Amino acid sequence: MDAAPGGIWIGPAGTGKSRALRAVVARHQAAGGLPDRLLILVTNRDEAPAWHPHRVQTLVQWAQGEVALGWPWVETALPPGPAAAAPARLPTAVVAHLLARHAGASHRPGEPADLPLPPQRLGSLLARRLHRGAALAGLPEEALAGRLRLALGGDDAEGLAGAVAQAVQSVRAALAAGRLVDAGLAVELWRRQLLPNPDYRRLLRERWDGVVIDDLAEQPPVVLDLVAALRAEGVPVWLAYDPEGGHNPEQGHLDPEAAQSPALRGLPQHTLAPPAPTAPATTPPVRLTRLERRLRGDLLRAVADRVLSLIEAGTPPAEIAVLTPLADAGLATTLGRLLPPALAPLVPIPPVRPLDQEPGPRALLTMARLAGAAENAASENAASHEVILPPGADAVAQAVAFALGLDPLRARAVAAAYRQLGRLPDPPPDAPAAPEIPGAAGAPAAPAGPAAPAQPATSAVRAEPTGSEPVSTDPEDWLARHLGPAALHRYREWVAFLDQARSLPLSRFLHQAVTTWILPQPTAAQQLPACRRLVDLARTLESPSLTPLLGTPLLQELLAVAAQDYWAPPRTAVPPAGVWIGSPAAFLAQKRTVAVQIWLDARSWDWLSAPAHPLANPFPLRPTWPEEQVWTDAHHQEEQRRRSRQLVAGLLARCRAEVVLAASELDARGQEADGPLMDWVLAGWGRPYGEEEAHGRPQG
Amino acid sequence: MADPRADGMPGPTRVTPPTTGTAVATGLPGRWRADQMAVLDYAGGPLAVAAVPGAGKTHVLAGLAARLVAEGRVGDGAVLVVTYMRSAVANFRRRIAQFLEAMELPPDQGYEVRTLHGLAAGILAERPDLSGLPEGAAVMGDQERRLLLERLSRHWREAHRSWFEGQVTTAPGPMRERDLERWTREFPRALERLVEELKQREIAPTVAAALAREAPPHSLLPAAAAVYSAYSQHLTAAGQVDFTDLLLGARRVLERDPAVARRLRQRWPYLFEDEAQDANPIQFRLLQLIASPGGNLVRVGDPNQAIMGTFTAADPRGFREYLTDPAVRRLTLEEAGRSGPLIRGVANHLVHWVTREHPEPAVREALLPLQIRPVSDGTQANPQEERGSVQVRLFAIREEELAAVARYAAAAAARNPDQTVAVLVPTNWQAADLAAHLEKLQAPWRGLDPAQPVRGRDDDPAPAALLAALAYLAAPLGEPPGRRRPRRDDRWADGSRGLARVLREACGLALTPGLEAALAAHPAAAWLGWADAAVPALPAALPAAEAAALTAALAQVRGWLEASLRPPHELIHLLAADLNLRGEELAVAGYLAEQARMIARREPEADLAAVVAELREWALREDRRRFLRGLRESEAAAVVPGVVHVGTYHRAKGLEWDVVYLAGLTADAFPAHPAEAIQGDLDFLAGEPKDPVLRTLGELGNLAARSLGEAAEEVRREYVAERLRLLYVGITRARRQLRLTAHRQARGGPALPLRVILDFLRKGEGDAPES
Repeated sequence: MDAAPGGIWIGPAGTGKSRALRAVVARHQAAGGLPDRLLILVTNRDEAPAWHPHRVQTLVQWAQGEVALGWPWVETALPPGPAAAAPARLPTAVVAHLLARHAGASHRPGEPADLPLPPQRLGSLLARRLHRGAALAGLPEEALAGRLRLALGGDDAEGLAGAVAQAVQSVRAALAAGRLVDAGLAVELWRRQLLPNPDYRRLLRERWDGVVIDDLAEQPPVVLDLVAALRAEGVPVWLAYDPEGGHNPEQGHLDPEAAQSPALRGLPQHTLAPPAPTAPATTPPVRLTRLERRLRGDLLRAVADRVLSLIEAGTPPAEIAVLTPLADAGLATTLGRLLPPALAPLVPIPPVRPLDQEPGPRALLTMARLAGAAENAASENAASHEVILPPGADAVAQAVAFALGLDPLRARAVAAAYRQLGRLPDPPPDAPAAPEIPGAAGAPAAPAGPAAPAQPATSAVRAEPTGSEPVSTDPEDWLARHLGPAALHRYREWVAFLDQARSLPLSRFLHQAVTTWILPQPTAAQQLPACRRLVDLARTLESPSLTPLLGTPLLQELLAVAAQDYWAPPRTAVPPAGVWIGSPAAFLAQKRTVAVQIWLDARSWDWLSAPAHPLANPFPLRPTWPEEQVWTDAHHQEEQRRRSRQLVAGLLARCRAEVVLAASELDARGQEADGPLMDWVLAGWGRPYGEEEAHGRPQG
Repeated sequence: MADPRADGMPGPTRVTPPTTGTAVATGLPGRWRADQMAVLDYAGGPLAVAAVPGAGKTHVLAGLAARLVAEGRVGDGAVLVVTYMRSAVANFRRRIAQFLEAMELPPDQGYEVRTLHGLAAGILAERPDLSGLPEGAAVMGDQERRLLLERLSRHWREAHRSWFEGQVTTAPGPMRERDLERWTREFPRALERLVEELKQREIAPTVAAALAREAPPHSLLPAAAAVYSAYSQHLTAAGQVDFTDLLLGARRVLERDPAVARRLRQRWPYLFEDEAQDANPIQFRLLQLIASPGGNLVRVGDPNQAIMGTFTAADPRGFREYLTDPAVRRLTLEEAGRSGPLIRGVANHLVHWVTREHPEPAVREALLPLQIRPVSDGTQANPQEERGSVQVRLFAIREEELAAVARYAAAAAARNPDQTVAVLVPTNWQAADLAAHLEKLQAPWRGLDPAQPVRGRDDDPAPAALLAALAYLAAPLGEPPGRRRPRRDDRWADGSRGLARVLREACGLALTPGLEAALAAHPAAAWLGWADAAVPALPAALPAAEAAALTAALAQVRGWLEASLRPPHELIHLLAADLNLRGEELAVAGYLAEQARMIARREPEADLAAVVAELREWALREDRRRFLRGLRESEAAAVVPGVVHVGTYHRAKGLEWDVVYLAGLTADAFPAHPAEAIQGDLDFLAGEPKDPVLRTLGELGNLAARSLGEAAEEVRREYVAERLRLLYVGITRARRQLRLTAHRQARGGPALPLRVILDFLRKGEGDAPES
């Protein structure tokens, strides 16, 4: 281990700060240090392979572990509640749901006037930004209402700030009493209960040879409390800091002045400079080019053409990135179809959909709704028996296709009959042995479970029309006609399962559904983690500690929570090589440099997203924010411009050859697109420019 | 004839600057008239410019913007020109750029041109946190809004069927059925207008519901309040805002934080508003907040062309009040080089008659006594007087009138291929009828509505293939038998019928009878490879190319089916790419995808069939045209010689032609008295007045503590006034020839103003009528 008391590497992106930290780690290892004696904190779990074999964590993850470790100390400070050896972990989505319920209940129409948010959005805002954001900023709970007032400004601030702060405090108190801890509460408890505790600080000293913190500018402000505590205990810390960083204030990041923090005072500094611009042969300037169309659809086509022409000219697909704040599955679909996969493979956008949109959980939830299991499961808590809305026909088709492995035609046949009846049709007890449509034996995802009967030999040639007799009008006959005997058999079993399992508690129902229907499906394997997540959520909601905070039926609560749980599937260790498509923030988080960046929708205002909703404005939530300083338009403008410049500088630093500014006059909805980013960039922020003209990096 | 010029102009200052000609002092190129020079001399402060039709206000405003830029008066900021039409944005940009280029200055610096909605959206995008609107809200387009309101109206109507049907007083029988049908059609329009009015007046849904409880028995307010409430909830749930929310939100931003307005003022030290007579109070307030009291706000418009009040919340009184505000400097542009002497005379006589002699004294304020004067200094040449330049023709019935006008207009266009010709009618359906007559005559014509098809041009981009594919994917096996009457030959119910259709309509496959029979011989599942046996063999006689096309198309359909359980908006994007849509068709597809996403957010349980049904409804209706109009409005309206331009009086605003036919000048379209029957009246309804839109507006007027009768009277009076201004707009579109027609069969016969014009022509220089 280095004898030096740690150090801080300061420099812009791409100057080798992380490399320097990894060298520290390598030296520790070479000196015989054990990997688990080094605490390594990063901001992005995707970076884990770069640090192998060491384990890396985010600050939030680590704080959660610390609270579990120091639970006996933490618990003594909590209000009375059930004795627990360790806190139960609560997903953020559940907290979001609880906060939306409480804030919504405390909000009276007209006063305060400004909560025109859908409940899911409100919940997400309060849980992920306010509750967790305040904890990550190290803001004392009692200061919350005051800071909210500063963030809101205006006449309504007092009432709204009070109501929202009250909701957060109530939910936090209820969770603590129930020994339920989510990420925000874990950070809060760690900072408030553990960090000042001398015994815990001694433990810190004994456990770690040193602490390595990458991307300090992207870390939440509370990280400085940790650094200060570690240094006070004599634990060496090594840090990497980009003064131009801090791309994600909503998640909490350090002020540009963080380098002056007392926590960092006295640390040896190593300033890293960008490559000298005096070597044009090796670092040619970034070119700015324009690609403009009137309609957005045509622009997408033009972008696809540009990508293809770049590849034909010799640019590897992995050297091209299409960046847009409007990146979604629709865009990925369009570009995916326009680009020939063999020539221009597209790295798919990581799904950002909520859990209830994942195929497996979606099918499970539909099954639960069909079975009405939740109503029974919640009956103990039921103050009133609300009606569970039946699923739509598409949901039924999807569930049938997923759970039974049916092809879309047969799945639609079930859904059509369901739509007809308003319920699942009962399968006829005596299904015809020789169907008109061949059986499901050869269907792509036909199950091979023991319950499947022997497949009848059938012909693909349809039966002759039955003369002049009209077909039956009975939906059940329709079902028999379209499913075929094998699929009909499984369908019958499935309906019976729904009927039998309806008396089970919700989590057990879902668990059985997974084991009985999802697990045997070979094509459903990749959905198993998502399905397990749903089962875990149901189990969490069934916790007696949560009962007083929830309504009924439980399935309704689960549906609401699943709709807020932005679940990320496990990532592949090595991302596929291809044209990268995604948001600018996601691109920067990847820390990769490419030859060509295409900034799509460069006239969209979404490139300049507002720093935050006032209910969760990270700036007034910081302890360093001046007392009684109301967040004003000047602050907003300054921050927005700073972030825009920072974004542009960050992206240009990650580009080697060309930035294509692609914009349409009208957006997808036919509205004028007149966001200022493109003009700012073309104006060079102080530098002259010309179309197709070589262009240097803007001055920060 | 009375001398219209004897009318004094109350209010606006008459300016007689000493010089005329090149604006040497400013360096602006071109020659300028004296009245234009007075505007160009503007240095700062609030200014109102009242301009008659053809006075060149766009030209002057563009010149003024260029002059301020050239003189460096904007500093680091820019002159902001605000318009209400996208087409005007392009026009202004072009003109200002031309001036700057002529002065050897950068053509794209120092000014910005925006529509008002674009301006509001920009303010919101900068400070969404102050707007009180959902963060990151998507703007709901007019057509989407209309569809939603229609659906909500339908739900309300179905839930209150007895009340709804009870409003129709017609005795049972076929007539009642017809009236009920019309009432059903008109009902959502009335509610839409009323909801808009409630929003404009910033009456919250809860307040509207309380007011509705006090409403008279036949009032639409209870329905409107319920629909308004549901509409607001839908918007919130979907995270959307409409255009009125945009304006209100932007105004709220400026009101809540004066620093925003200060910053905008630094950015735009000069603020110009074009077509100021079309502003509604919220829009005006927004501009006032940016400019500040006493700030550099220049409003230019023609109060006599305020014709948007019936369809929108535009308030013509706003600009009139600005013109008479003592704190505002006023100028007029009364010289215009557009029309010949007699056409000018007719327009001025209409102004004179309305302001001095209209039988309804309260309507005399409909027009301001602005006089159109010929250009006096030779900077522009007015058309010379031609024999028979203004003629009036009366017909017996409407069909005869429209047929004759189509004939005359077609002949005029053919006779003078270098001249421009237009026919203007009061309503869209009359425009459609007229277009049909021109089609029959095989005459070249062009719709003024940019979304109207133009003869000979493939111009109707309904993405039919996309919709066909979606319809198939929503129900690939057709409806289950219980939903429809079973057919004797139900052999297609296995999906091969739908498969054949999607292959034909979406994949563009030409299915020969032989191929179709082959498809019918096997169920769709077999063709798509979802059976246990091999895919059926194709007929041996099928040519290889066709077989390959069929195989490829089947693979495509299979892929679509596999994707059909994805979210509808993703499916639409995928189909649009596969179908190789481009241009406007692709834009429509993109819009449909956005619609589908919104529907899914609003109604999570809506299945693909329901989404497709709604999208088809949208795509097959006028709403698609509205969307296209929005896409095309940025293209400047082109007036082409030798072609008959057809459209409504409203659509003609801002345009001019050599020969103009004004048809449909009947008393029900241009009433002279508030008590007269009008085209929008539904005589069969209980309660008064009979036009549900005017009635509801009157009821809202009643909210301001006046009696319902007074409020309704005022609304109808304003309607009469607006129709007079509409006629004025029509007349002033003509350069050389003006033809006015009507038919006697209409309720009330020819309009009173037409008779007044006829008298004017008989007494003086006009031609005798031919009837």
